[in-house]
Amino acid sequence: MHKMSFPPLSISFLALTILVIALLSFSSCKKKLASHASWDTEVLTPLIQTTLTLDDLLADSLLETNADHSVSLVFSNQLYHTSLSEATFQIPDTTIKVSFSLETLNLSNQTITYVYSLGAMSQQLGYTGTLIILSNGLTITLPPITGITTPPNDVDASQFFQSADIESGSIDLTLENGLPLTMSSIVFQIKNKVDQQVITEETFTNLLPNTTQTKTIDLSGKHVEGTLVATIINMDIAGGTFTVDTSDAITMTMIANDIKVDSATAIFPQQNLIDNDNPTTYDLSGGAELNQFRMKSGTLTIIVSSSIQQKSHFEYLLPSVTNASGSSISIIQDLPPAPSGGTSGFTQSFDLAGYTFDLTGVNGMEHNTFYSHLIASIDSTGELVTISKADSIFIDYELSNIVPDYITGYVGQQIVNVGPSTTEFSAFRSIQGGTLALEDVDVNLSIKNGIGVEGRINFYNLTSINSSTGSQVMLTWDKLNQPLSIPPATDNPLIPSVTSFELNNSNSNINSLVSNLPDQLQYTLDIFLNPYGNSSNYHDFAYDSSELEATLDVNVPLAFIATDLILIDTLEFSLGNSEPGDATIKDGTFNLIAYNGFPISAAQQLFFYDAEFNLIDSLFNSVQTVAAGMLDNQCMVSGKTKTVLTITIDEAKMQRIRSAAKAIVISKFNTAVHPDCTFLKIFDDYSMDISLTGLFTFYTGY
Amino acid sequence: MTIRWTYHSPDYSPSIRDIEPMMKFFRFFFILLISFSINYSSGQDKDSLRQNIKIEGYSPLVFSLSALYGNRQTDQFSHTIGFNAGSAINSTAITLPFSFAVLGNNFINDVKKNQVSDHLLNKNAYEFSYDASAFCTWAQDSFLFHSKAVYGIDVSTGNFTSVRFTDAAFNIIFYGNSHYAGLTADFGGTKLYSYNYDRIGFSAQKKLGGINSSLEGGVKLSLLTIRNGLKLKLEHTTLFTEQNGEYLDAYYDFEYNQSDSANKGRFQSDGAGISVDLHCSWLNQIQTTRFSFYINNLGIAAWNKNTSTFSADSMIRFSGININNLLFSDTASFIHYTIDSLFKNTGTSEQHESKIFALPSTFSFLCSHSVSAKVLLNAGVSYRPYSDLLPLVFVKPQWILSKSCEIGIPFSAGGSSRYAIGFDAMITIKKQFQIIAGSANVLGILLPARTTSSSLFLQTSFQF
Repeated sequence: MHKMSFPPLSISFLALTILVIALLSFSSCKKKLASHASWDTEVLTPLIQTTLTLDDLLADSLLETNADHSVSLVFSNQLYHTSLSEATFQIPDTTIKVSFSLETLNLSNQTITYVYSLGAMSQQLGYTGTLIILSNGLTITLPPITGITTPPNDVDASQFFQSADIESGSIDLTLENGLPLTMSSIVFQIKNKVDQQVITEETFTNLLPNTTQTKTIDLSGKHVEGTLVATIINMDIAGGTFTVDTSDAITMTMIANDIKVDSATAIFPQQNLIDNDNPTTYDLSGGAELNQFRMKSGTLTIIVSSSIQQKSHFEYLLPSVTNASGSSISIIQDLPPAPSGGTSGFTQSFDLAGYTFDLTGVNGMEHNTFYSHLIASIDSTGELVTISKADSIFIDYELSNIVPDYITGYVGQQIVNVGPSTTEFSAFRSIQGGTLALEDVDVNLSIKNGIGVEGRINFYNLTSINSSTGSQVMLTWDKLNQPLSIPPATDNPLIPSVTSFELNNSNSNINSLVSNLPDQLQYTLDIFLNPYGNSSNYHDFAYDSSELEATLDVNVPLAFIATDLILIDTLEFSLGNSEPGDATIKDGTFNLIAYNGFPISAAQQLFFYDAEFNLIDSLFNSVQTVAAGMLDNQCMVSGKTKTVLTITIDEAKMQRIRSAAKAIVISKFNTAVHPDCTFLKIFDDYSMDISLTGLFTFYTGY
Repeated sequence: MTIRWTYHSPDYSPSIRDIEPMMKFFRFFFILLISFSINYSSGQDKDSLRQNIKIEGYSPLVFSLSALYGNRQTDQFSHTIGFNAGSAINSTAITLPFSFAVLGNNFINDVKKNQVSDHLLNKNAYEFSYDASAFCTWAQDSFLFHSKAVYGIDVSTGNFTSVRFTDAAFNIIFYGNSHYAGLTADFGGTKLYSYNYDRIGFSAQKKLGGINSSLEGGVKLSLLTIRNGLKLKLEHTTLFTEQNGEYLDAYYDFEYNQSDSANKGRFQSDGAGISVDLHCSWLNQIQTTRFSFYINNLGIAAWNKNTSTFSADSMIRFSGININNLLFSDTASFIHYTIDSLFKNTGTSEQHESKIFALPSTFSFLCSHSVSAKVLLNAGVSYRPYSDLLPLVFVKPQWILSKSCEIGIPFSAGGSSRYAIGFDAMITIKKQFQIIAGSANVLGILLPARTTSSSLFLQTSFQF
């Protein structure tokens, strides 16, 4: 069905009169110089002819021929309309902020070796030490020596780190006795050089020549500096005879094991700083729990920033978001080192059109949740940098202009209150006065649900408003104020559900409503989605094109009584400008000859206005009426009635019409009167023959 | 608007009675002329009478009422060069103010139309032409012939436009068809022929049988190009206008030819042609009377293959442009009724092909008679089948006022005009320079609104 704009005879006359006036604007191409002689000539000629049938007056789609060849007017007027994107379900622009802290921060397992030679040791033993040095290469017998101490000696680990706050980890401290004597006791201390914090103080006993002893030192919670101080607090040497070799030494080896730091200024090894899945949950209104939505359009903008002061690799995956080919959104990009105290980052946008969000989370059991997978890693650069576990990678997801193309899940319970609202009723838009009594009117209230959600609609009020007369007629109907169930549409393929409710003379006052010739309808209603909760078990769906609309399907048998039915139409009007020398009709008399086979008389007038709506002139000098066709006892037209409408236009009037910018056509219709007839039916073979003749002075132009 | 228009019933046919007033006028002046000539001659003595002026020399090869002074050409000089220019408007009905308005692209008001309407006949003619030429002639004893002959070469450019139309055609076009409400307008016999030309000709004239022969013959062969050619012929064409204008019934059988319309410019050539001018004359022994016969412009012109020919032989009832869907028609398409749709609806066919048309020939007979030593009387008849409604009958006395000045007053009736009284003169300066100027009709000076023809002719020549 089509929307209907009632275009009865008045429009035809309007078209005809326009043609008449257009005729007067005959103009040839503009000429500056006379190219041939010119003169006036009086022409008497037919101009146009046509036969108007109902098909000419009304679009075929508006007409329905009944079995008795009478004609009904069928048209639709949409009362209410909403769609997925308009009202039912909307996804607002959303920004989701997520931060990823460093999970682990490892230092490499480094080994530090400290060699304490006999010569060096002897230099710190005073007289005894001098004797040992002098005996180098000689075999001597040395008595047991106790209480040997050494001054602090730096152990430089700064090539690996400058400082580190150890979260966990240990070092293995190994002493190897390279001396030919047994170390009966060694008390070994290691401390930070700067803050003098003792890292460890270990005692090794009975360390035989060419043997090693190892002790594991737990560094958890300790602050370790890159330069340590190693001190032998006490060393006892068992005596004996041996050949002195001052290059013999005690070797201390520190091996770091699985050092994890809270922060460190160090040369970090290659490692993944972050590697995890991260769920993101939408908070949707109405308790909606969606499993999926497919994007018609939208943009995902990912803003990444990092406080890691080392160049890091960023690998971001959205496994939940895939396109038709199954490809998901991913970003693989390097993050530059953050400045001290600042962040580095980048921004990247994705057109989401065609992408589908799987909102069931990582385990497939959730709703409204999609997840991402982030890997952040660093390479070993050989440079000292400060990294703390307090460093983070921040990701802002900006979802903007999201228009879902399709959603599934449970859309929640929503109540949409509509009205009081007013909608245009265009069928009788041009009717500005008079009465139209209709014999019968059939109206179907049709509710078409293209959304896969069960619903309920409740009409509270429907009022027809005639703005011209101020008349209002409120609908009385036995289904007002009653919830009307709306079944859901079915999917694959989408088939909207259509529910119709008939309004007729027996259950409503619809005839009065329509006969009021409304130009507006006022209504109040509400729509309740999922009134029974998640009865679909997450199988609600909706497409972007899904609509929920309420339409009045009107069927008006053309059997009526029109009494001074006045139709008024306003239109833009221009005949253009003529220049001297243009061929033109200067003045004349035009006869509109109508043979009317419709049982309707039509009085016509066309008024011309300037751009400010000041009246300029009228087409007819007086209102002229096309007489109705003759009726027989069966209330059918038995013969056409001839009427000649005369339009006289002199040169002055022609000029006035040329200056018009707007025109208003006013038509007044009356059905023919016959003592045996009340309502007059219009049959499909009714027609009106129209011809237009002109007797006019034609200036040939030059 | 005051309209006086003439309507002739369809059974009315043109005849000599259409020009009855002219003929009366003509008879009056002819009698006056003869009386005047006789009286002028009777004043001479017998010797003088016997010494009537001798007709000598060669006749002009192309007949022209304004240039009948060729009889004064002698063999004293052997060469002549000169220029001709002339223009003529002739009509049986179209008055001079109307013609000038048409030719000047001016507005034709009702006064002018009414003047024409007063003179309209069932069949009417209108002609407009102009010609400008340069010529040279020379006498040569042996060239194409073994004896003396006069040869000539001339080049010319000009226009020929001739219209034959019915009174209904004029009324419909200029007054409109409203006055034919309930009547049938007959256009049958309306025709138009118009073209511009450039021509070059070669002529030879010779005394047949010796230098002193009484027989003279001449021929001119011309080649010409034509441009801007138009030709229209309406046969059995009528238009009936319903009393209230509810329909028009048109019966038509026409052919319209237009030469290559895409070819523009002064030197365009839309076709080429060839024509011949023939002349022969006989002069009596005492050289007082000569009979001359002319056939001029006998030939054809072939319009090139780009010539458009529109033709139809059909009928149509026009009840207005049929609007199938009034509601959804746009006015623009209604107004701009296309040429194609017009052709289709009228059954008009269009062809592009070369066409050959006959040139408008003229057949003339002239009798020149020496009435006295001072008076020469010319009389004759000339007929152009395409243009003339009736043969042109003329009388032209010429008075030899002195050795250097002659005048003539041509009286004519028929042709493509009604009647005319002209005046022309020949002035000879120092025997060698000759100027001939005149008009075939000077009545327009006195009665422009009642005069339907006018012309102007000027020839200058130098003999040596």
